[in-house]
Amino acid sequence: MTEKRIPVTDLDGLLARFQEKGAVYAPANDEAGDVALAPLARSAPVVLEYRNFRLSPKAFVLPQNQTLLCFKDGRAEEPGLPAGQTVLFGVRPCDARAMLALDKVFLDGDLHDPYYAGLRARTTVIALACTRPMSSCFCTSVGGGPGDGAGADVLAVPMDADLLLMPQTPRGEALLSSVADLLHDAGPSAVKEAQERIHAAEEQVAPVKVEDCAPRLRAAYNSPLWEAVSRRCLGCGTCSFLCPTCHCFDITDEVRGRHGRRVRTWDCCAYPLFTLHASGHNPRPTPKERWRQRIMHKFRYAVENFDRLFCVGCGRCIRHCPAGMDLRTVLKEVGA
Amino acid sequence: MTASHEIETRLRETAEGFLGAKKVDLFLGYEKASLPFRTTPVFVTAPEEATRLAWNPFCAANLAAYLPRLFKAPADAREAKTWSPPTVAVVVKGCDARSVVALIQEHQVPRDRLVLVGIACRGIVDTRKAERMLGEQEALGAGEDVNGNIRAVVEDGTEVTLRREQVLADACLECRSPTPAIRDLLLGSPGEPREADAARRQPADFESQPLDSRWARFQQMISKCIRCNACRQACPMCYCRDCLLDQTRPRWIGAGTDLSDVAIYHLVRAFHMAGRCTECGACVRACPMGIDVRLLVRRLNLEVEDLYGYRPGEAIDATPPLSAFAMDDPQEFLTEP
Amino acid sequence: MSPIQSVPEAAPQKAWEPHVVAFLCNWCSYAGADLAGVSRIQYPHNVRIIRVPCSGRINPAFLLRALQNGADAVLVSGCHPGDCHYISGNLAARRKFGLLKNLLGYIGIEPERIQFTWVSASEGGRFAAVIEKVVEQARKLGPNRKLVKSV
Repeated sequence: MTEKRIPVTDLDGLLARFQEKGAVYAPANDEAGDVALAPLARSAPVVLEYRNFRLSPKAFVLPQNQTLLCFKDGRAEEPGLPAGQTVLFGVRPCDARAMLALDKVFLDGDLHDPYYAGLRARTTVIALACTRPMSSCFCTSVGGGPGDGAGADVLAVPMDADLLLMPQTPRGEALLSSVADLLHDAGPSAVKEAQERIHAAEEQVAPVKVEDCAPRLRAAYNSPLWEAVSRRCLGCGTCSFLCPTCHCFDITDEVRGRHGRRVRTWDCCAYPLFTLHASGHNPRPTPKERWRQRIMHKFRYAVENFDRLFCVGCGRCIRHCPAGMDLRTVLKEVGA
Repeated sequence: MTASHEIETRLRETAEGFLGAKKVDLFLGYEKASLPFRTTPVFVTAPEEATRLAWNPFCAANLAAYLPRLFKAPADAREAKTWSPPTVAVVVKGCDARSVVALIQEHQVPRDRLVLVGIACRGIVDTRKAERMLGEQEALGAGEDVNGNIRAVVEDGTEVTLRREQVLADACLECRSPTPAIRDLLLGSPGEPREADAARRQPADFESQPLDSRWARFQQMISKCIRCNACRQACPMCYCRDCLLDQTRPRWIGAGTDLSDVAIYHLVRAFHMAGRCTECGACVRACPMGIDVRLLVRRLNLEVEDLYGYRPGEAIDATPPLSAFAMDDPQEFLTEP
Repeated sequence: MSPIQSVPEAAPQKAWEPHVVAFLCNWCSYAGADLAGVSRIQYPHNVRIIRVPCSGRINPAFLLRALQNGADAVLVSGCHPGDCHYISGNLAARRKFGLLKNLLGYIGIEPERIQFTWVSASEGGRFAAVIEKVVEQARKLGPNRKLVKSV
């Protein structure tokens, strides 16, 4: 796979070319002044100076609500998927890597989720490497990094006047070939410079000790510390909803008379209702059990079942928790 | 030494004293969080841990939200037999104290098991406002200076001063009760409440727009909602074990982001807050999408005040307005044929 | 992002008529409506009546749900203050309704979409007149599109 490069000034043209074949989402300022992935439009100029978006891009492959089927008078039909490809430009490497975790859940294994698969198959991810990690980032400790291309189809690395474009998958290679006329070859010096920038960014990410977290958590299951670390949790769900790897969902039927639809929506294991049985019994009755499950799922069960951590170190849960909880502190306190 | 620092010192002494003398089982306050502009609730049980307590302009959480849970017997019947309600000291700002009053009125917490450590609050910093003011720079540390402004140290090592008025939470800019009315002790000297009409400006502004613009603005606001329920969970007055909006038999609203469902979620929740919400801003703070969750309830509270002369959380023995009625209540909204 | 897909609705066959949902308290307003019927007083057929024991039983969520389900206007009617079969249910309701109506108006829902009145068991004529008024106002407003959820 050959690396390519494009002057930053030509980026708009490149994205416009992608837009000929389908939807394109790129980082732009929203009304509040934050940067978010928005549909490419002249009214929303692309922004390249940002840390990360508030919402993770998982909504593109696992929407907050997704109609699975519609039914009327006893007949059911599945709604068609939106036509055309979607290109996501500017996804951070942590979020791109998170897609691999979602793939493990929805694509690999015994059950293949066609609703997820349909959206995943038509989504091309162009990741943008980070040059300025935040103090809440810890991607390097969980197997990723500011210049990690895993999960992306193309990894773009910002240089002074150029973007280096490194294809990561055959789809990424094909995408770049389709716009070959807009791109230049990147020489080995450009690649070297990109690696140096990435390395400099890696140095800025504060490490978190998570080696052997799975067996340690196994040993700590009955630790009295879970009670103490979870007392501040409000069960608000912000962490799960913003987390790029959290994927728990609920399925409900919305019925009006003789027709209706079956909808999948995001759910959160921190909600008391999440494990409430019809009998009234709740195996996770207090924040202690729910927090323990959250940590266990991401740092132990995922490792035991899928051989990967279900945390990519994006830090959203730390930045946005209204109770100021910090996953890293909890991991340290329970001895993970 | 800043005013906050003095309060913090006295707070720690108080906690050490209460816990040492076993006057309380638990001292609920704030401690430093891992990121700047934030604190996190701390549940102190030992006098030696009193030094964890902090008081600064980032003590945002409404600690009253944690109280109902502390006074509920454990679900396990065997544990419940040996459980008795704890005595809890809780740090309360003006708005938090009013929430505690409302919880006492609704029998969710017992007054005789609470020690209210009141703090005369000068307003709390809105984390998002502060971070936005720093633009592309990330703060690595932040504190209060002697003038009451916020001083942040950013990544390149420089110090940036943020004027307090520019980073205070919206709820604080409209606050009429900065000093806890109900308390067992008071730390700090009472500050000035905001002018009485500060809270009326935004609703008056909103209402002055034509009907369809208001609907458009409302739609735009709720279109950001991802139905995470953070606003509800953070609210001290939302303590129902089974929320109406989660009920499945019958199901009132869908769980997704259909605008109609989102609108009804916020309308019903706001309505349940009428005359109960103390406008602490916990909902706004918790919302990950930055929605002004107080839009509806601000208006409702003002109306309750105007129509029935009631402000939530001022007196424990007051009757909540929607649990009361009078023969001559206003009814000009009635339809006459 | 995947939009919510819904089953397409059949095209309307007739000219649009407003749909009004009326919550009537059993002891006064429902009896009043019944009296209108027995007295052969004509009133528009657009109203769907739901009987409740008392206007105080009405949860504001009922009205919102009615609007969500496509009602063009919602009427709640109870006993006159002082005449409530349960002594004070209507008085409790009065406080709720005023707040709800103003709240909906605040966010841009036409005030005439939610209406409240008192009708006693002997006021058959009054009931019919109220329905006339509510239906006419709903007709003038047009179909309710705000808050409607299409499934």
